[in-house]
Amino acid sequence: MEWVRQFQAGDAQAFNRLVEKHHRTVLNLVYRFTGSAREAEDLAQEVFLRVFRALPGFKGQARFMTWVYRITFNLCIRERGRRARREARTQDQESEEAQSLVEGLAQPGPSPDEHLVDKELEGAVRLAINRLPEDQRAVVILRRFDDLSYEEIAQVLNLSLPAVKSRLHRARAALKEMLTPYLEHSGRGPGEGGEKP
Amino acid sequence: MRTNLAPECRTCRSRLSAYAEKDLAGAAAREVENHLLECGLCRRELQALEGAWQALALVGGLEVSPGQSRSLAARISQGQPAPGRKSLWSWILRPAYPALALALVLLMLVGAWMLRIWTPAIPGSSGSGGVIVTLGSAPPDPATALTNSHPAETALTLFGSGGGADADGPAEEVGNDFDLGGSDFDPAAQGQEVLAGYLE
Repeated sequence: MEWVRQFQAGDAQAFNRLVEKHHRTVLNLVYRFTGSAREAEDLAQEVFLRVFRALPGFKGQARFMTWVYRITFNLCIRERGRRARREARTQDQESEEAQSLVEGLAQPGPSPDEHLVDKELEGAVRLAINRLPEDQRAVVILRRFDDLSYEEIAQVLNLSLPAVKSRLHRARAALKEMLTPYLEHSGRGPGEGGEKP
Repeated sequence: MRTNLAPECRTCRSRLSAYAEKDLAGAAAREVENHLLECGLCRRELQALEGAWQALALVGGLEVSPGQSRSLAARISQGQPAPGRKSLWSWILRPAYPALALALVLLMLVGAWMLRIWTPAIPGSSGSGGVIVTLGSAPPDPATALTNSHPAETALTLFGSGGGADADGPAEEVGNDFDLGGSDFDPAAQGQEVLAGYLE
């Protein structure tokens, strides 16, 4: 907040410090939400451009990062809407990839080495995150990767507390459904070493 | 599959996510814990929930160097878009640059050509006069030229039609082709005749 005040007082260098401190957070927030590194770079730049323009009028009623998160998600959701048509084709491809992965798991071949399993699992996790509805995805990212409290998530996404909890629980259930086959295949599933019923 | 679950299992699983999030307290939390102690299926379900949540950590993030952040801040401060990011105006204008340059070149060429066509030829002006001077070979004597007070006479002197000290010899030979009347020449009258001829 000190840098925010300095910037508002006319210290242009304070903005540089703000960018340096929060660039990675914003970039990864967008990256995890969109699944695209290139899109993340473009949108992160757009986020900081908006921050730069709006910062003189920032009153400090919310935490600076809460405000930045809100700008980021608003921008992400708007951009995703704009690009929805273009992405429809990609999603079809993703669905085909996911289907082939699931089919592959249904008939597991010889056990691949650990590195390949990790890579496959990482791809599956990315896919699972991208397949969550946007409202659930946003909650998951803020909770899991940015470690925000329910209250902070509610502020960022302009939701009630019960709505945040409900979305998070549904998202966790959906992730479990999508990822359990991969986890079992990689030897990390609940059946591996866990107690049998 | 869930329809075959015992009622206790169904109740437990509806709370399992909240329990995993440590968002369950009091009697509800104790009920779940007690059920988990005696139900392996629900324990498995909890492990699956937590395993999926932990697996999210496999998704790596993007790294950013301080230089990249400084560069981004500088671009924004200076109001310049990033190299990969196009502004609306650059998007509008960029494809037009080559066409615009070509159009300007063509316009200049056409303009120059039209100027050549539409500029009226002035009799005795630099075009033919220059040739005459060349053909007259010997350069006029500036002193003689200056003694002629009438502009037309000066012109005749420059043409080398006679009277000048250096107008002998070759100048006379060539000068025959351009005989404007010799010493009987009345410049004013001759000028009027030439002008009248052009006007006709």
